[in-house]
Amino acid sequence: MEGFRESLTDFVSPAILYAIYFVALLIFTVVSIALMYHWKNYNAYSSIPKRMIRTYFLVSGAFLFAMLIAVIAYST
Amino acid sequence: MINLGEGEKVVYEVRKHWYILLVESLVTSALFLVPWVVFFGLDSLNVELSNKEGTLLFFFAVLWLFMTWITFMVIWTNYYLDVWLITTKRIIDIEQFSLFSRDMSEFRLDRIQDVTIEVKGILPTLLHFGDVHVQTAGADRDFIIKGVPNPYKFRDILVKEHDRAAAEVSSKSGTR
Repeated sequence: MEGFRESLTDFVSPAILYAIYFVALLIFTVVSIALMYHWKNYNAYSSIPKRMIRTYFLVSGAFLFAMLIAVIAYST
Repeated sequence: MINLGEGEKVVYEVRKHWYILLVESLVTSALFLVPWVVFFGLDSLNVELSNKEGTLLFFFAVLWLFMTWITFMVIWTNYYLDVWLITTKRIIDIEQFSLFSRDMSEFRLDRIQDVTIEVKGILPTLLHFGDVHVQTAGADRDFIIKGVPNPYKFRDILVKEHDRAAAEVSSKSGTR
């Protein structure tokens, strides 16, 4: 178990974490564009609640920020 | 956006009952708990992690939560954009299956022949939601609107608007 844990931290280099982070950022960007397109064009009559849009970006931003801090902490 | 005709107004706008959203996002909610279960498991097994291991675990836990959050937002968007509108002239059913996949159908209120409500089971009865079947003249299929909150109120509004639209149509044809 100890050997596995050591080899895991050796295997996962900061570069890999940065790559995963940027893939997550890319997924977030693509999904956000798709969601915003739907919110803007496909809402039938009333508009999407602004509070929900704000919450989506705030929570996503918080997660991305936490991940970035973790990557920086891991690489130092 | 829906283009309403001249003098047409939206009388009632309804989405599926929140219970439907709860069921659809049940898997996502379960996935949201996974990192907490892992942390709890490691804690109860007294596994000591080094700083590096802890940071790595934290990163993947947040990544997991982030992906789950995005998935939930897609589910919520599909739920929110799935809507029925009763206007002064027609009923519009917009069915959102997934992102970039939707179906829109509509029919004139004066063509409604029969409206049936189906509330089946304990939960729909207690939470006040059910299916509304609308039969129209000339259509080869019934319109089924599933998971409507307060289906009796929905039917009452639909019948009231149908009566008004039918009276309007007959008065127009009477004046000709």
